Amino acid sequence: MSDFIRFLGENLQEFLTYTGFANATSGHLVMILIGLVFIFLAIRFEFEPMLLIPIGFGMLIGNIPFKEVGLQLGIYEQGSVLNILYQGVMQGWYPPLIFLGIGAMTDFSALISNPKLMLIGAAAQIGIFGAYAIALQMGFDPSQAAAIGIIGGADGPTAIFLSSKLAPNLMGAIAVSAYSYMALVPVIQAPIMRLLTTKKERVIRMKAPRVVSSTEKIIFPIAGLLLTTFVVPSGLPLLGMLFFGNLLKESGVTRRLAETARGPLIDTITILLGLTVGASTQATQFLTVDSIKIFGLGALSFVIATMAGILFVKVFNLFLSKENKINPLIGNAGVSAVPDSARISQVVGLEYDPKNYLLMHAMGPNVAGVIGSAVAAGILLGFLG
Amino acid sequence: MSTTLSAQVTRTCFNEILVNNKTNFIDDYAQRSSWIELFNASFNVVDIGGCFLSNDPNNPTMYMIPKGDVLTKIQKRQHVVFFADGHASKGNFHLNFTLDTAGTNTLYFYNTDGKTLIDSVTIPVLEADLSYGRLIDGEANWGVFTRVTPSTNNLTLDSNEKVDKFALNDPDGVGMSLSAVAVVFSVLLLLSLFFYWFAVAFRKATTKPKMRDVVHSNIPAEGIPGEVIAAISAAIYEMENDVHDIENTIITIERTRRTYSPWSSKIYGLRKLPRK
Repeated sequence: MSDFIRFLGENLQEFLTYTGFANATSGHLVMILIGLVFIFLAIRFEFEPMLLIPIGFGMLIGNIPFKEVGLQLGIYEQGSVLNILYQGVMQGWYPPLIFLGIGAMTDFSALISNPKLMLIGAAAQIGIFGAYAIALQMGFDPSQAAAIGIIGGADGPTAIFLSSKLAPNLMGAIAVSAYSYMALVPVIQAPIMRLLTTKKERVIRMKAPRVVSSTEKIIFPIAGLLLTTFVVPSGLPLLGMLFFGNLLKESGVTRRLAETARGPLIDTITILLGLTVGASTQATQFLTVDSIKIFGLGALSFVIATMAGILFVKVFNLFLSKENKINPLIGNAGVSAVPDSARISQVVGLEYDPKNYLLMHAMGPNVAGVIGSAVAAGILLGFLG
Repeated sequence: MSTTLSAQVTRTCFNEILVNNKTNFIDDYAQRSSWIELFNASFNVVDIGGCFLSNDPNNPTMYMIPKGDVLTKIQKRQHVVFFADGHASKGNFHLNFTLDTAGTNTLYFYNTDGKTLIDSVTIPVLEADLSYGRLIDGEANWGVFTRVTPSTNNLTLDSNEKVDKFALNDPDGVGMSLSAVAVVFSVLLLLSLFFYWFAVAFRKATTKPKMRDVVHSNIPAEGIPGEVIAAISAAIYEMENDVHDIENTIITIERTRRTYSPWSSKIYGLRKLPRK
């Protein structure tokens, strides 16, 4: 009997060594706390809830402490369920599928009706290269600096895609940083917009966009694909899927495919992407000095991108006739955080002129930003991949 | 999976050899000795069981690789390592001879007949822990490796040439930034110009003659209600400007066949109103 009790005691002791309590470190607790903050921000303030809830909960999953004895639990353990799901991030095939869905849900009419707005989307990409240069100064090598700089494109899938190719070891920090700042677009961009514009500029009313014919909408994805990928073939995975999704939407004859791409498919991939990116932030891998630097550089790249977009519009206006002037408040939308940054243009614009609706105008540079950041990622991949 | 053919053994060759092993690769017994790597350059599984290894041309059958060992079947484009420690009793991959660490060595690999030479190599005198191997697996050129690669391919990349060039020539990132921004602007400018000109051309091509030029009507205007005129005007506007999207809605009309039965009869499903 005593042997049996001793046996049970030893088993219980052994079991206790496997519990989260026995294996918890301060790092785990910090990451769990960050995960809870993400979930709180998503529910309380509705900051990108579709992303922050999966990522936040993924952080909880990824930071439950356990004894690493080959039970295939952790995301970095070969063959574990999370590891299998994480392959879509590691191999970079989730982001193009997300782009397929984005293409199938994006209306490029604003851009087609006023093509010069595309240049704002190009100007905002300066944030990527500004952060790249600063990251080099901070001691990152060129491929790591490029992967960090892409955070300034404000495009989560693009950031994941590029970092999976150029700096897989930094991907967790880059992805979390990119999505965090995308959620914080209202907090980051609005003060910069007010700072860089005059009261007179903020009330500029833009000409109503013309109506775009369905033929033009069909031509757009085809011409867009050919023109962009012939120059930057390395952007093909993202741009190809983006324009393909858009053709499914605009062709008018593939309604079911378009609905699947912008509905169940993108939802499924978003769940898997968010959850696994969150789970990849295991404290042992994530809490490093580099991660802190990446967060700092991410914020900086967002600021530079926003400033570049707004200042570009101000300069551009010098060359435009009075009736064609662009409200600089849509300059921030050149970063591709769709549609949040366009929404910020609308909100700030209404503060100064309650009848000036900038949303439709801001959607032009906003979707151009999606194309621009994918092109920028292609260039970086071509140069450094 | 394809199996062994004697002819394919001829595509097996010496790939990398380390003679003077001081601090390098250890065997299953935690011992260091000279090691010899063979590479199956074919795209089939090759069984080298029954072939011979030797370091003496006068004794080509010095060590017969035992038959029947599953590990002597080398997978396509893969490698096996033999230890030249003079202790064949330690296992099938331990040779019964050793190599001379002070002089040159020549190794021979013979076919199962013990006569047909498949491959041979002369290894120069090298410092300890340097290996001598083919620069690319199975290829003709040999070189000295400071980073040895037993049981795996010889050519590995430990740096990215493009990244190194950028790190060397553009440490501040100015060149990259300027060129990349220029490309992004060019691409979007190209797209922008294309759509500007396309829109102009498209509108020109699709502008229809004004309706007033082609429509002649005898209906007096005062006889048509205002709403009808507004509706017609809106339709003409839409048609002239080609703004009517292709509708997404699809109506499917399908005939439903339903066999009559008292159970499905509507009349029995209705409650009769009570008569007062």
